[in-house]
Amino acid sequence: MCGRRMRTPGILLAALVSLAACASERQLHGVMIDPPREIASFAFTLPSGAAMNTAPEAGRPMVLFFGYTHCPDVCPTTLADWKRAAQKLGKDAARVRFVFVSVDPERDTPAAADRYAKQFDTTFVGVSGDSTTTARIMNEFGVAAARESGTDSTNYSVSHSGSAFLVDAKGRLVAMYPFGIGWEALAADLKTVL
Amino acid sequence: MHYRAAAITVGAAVIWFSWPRPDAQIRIALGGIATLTNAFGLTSALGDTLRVGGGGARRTVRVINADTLPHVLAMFSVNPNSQQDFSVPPGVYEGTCSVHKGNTQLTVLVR
Repeated sequence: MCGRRMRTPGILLAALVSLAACASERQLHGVMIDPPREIASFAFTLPSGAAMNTAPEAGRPMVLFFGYTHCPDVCPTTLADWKRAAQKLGKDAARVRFVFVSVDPERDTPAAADRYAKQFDTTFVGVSGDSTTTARIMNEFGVAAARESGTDSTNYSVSHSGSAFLVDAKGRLVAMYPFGIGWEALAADLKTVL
Repeated sequence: MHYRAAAITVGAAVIWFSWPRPDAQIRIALGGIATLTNAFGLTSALGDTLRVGGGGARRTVRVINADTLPHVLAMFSVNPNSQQDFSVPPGVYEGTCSVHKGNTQLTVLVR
């Protein structure tokens, strides 16, 4: 009888310890994906002709954003936020791969996409793939984009998802950052995953 | 006897409240019809605004996609026939929504 009385608190204690262990798992400031989602890798060609692959690199997390170079608001704001996050990281920023992916490959050449990203920080990479690759990577990240009606075939805007994505060094999508969440959240989370 | 019944009731209440469950659960049925179940188990059609409350610093939103197509609900994207949990800090989030055929927009209000 006494043994049974002792067993119940013991089980409760073990349960509490387990719950505490779960609670102490890595916490991020962005919208966390639970469990982290394995992400396929995609290959792009840089303006130099070199290949750029989104496959995981040891010790190097990756931040991605999907936009277009003619974007008047969300894209420049997001890349400016990245710049501030990179500045906050200091030397560690060199270990982060910041990748801007164009959702408007018709207008954004690989050179235009890369030039656009590098306007904000020379370590940023901008890529623009063919329509098939663009559709596949957008689908992989659940990014939506739609061309809005414009005055002509080259003067149009594109409505697109405004979230940035954090992929850890193992190639898993661990968090995302909806537009407006603040660059501090990204900077803090990069410090955590680095 | 009463003491034991009270202990069982309290224990059950503690377990019920501490049991990990999402603060909001969205289920997308075949054909892209979405329903929302809150933390108390009440289910309703998913409206244009998703309000999520709860305790602690973050809220858990679970999206179950039982449809054969991928769906994007603001920042929540889920592959066909799968489910995903999202741990969301408080804030207001907006985005396109594939299950809202009319206005195609969803606002997520996390308190």
